[in-house]
Amino acid sequence: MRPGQSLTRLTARLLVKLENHFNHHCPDLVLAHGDTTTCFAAALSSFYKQIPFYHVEAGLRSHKLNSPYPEEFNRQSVTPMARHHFAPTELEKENLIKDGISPHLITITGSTVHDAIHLIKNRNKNETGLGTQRSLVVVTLHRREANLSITQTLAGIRATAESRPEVVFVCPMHPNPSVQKAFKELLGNQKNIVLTNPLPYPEFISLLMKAQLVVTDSGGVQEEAAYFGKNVLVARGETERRDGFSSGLVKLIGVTAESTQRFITETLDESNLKKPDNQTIHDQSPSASSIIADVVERNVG
Amino acid sequence: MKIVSIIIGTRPEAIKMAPVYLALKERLGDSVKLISTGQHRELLWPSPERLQCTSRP
Repeated sequence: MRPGQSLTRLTARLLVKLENHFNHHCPDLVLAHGDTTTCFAAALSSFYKQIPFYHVEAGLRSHKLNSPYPEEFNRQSVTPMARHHFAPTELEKENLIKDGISPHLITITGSTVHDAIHLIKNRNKNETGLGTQRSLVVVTLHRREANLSITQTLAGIRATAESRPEVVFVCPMHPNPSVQKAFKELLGNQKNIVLTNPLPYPEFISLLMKAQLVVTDSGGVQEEAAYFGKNVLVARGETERRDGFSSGLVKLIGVTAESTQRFITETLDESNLKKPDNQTIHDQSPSASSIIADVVERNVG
Repeated sequence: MKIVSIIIGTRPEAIKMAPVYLALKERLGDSVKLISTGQHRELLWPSPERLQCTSRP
């Protein structure tokens, strides 16, 4: 991310870069993931060149075009440009059908993040003490549209850390300079709060596996932590992701300091009463990525 | 040879598309291209091979 980079300039730069790539390699099929500006630009650039675009993790909807911003717009806009849609579950498939997408262009796959975790899990298994550690809270916050909300959430975390000195908060910070500034200003100089730069993915997964509680506004982290059966507090007003909500382990806590402190304290107390390790790792077979690869192979073969 | 391009730009996409890239590479070989747009430059990215390699002790 370039400092102060606007979405307009980012999108323009990505479109040119993608067109250059398409001119050079002449792909017969393009795949991209989710709701980023990269995914939006890849779909648009493919459409302009009439290259079939296949959308991975399609069909998630908050139904509010501005929230999350710009991700909801990106994901909705990609849908009419895509020739095939890989939906994680039946719910996202139904969303796509409501948007007028023909069911035979939709494949339910599960989540590819589970495959990624499987790729690294065996390595992490060799580490010692991988079980849940009491009093370890992992925090990730990065929302671009909600600097104010981050400030409130951080204030709630600070207050909790002051009132619960036995709890350690580990915060791998997003590289966005304004996010890092907010973390340092609001959470710096508190001895049970550890601020770190972003961790390499295997190390981050290892940290998540040890956490008693995860506080995040990232849909991806929500999905990963829910996959490990962790308590997850989603620091957002709403979410387009349903991962983990049905189990009761994932809760939407809003963006005020008061609700943040209350939910963290309650969840730690509740989970202290339970058995310490409720880690559930599901084996999914066949994997999402092999389902996707099968469909792609059939269509380019 | 048909070419398939996988486009990524942020760390979460790099992670979530790594298994897709590896699965397609098994089937289609070098005709699968993995392209980063550089939307996020400073995040630490695992390459798909590194993720795969770490799964083998």
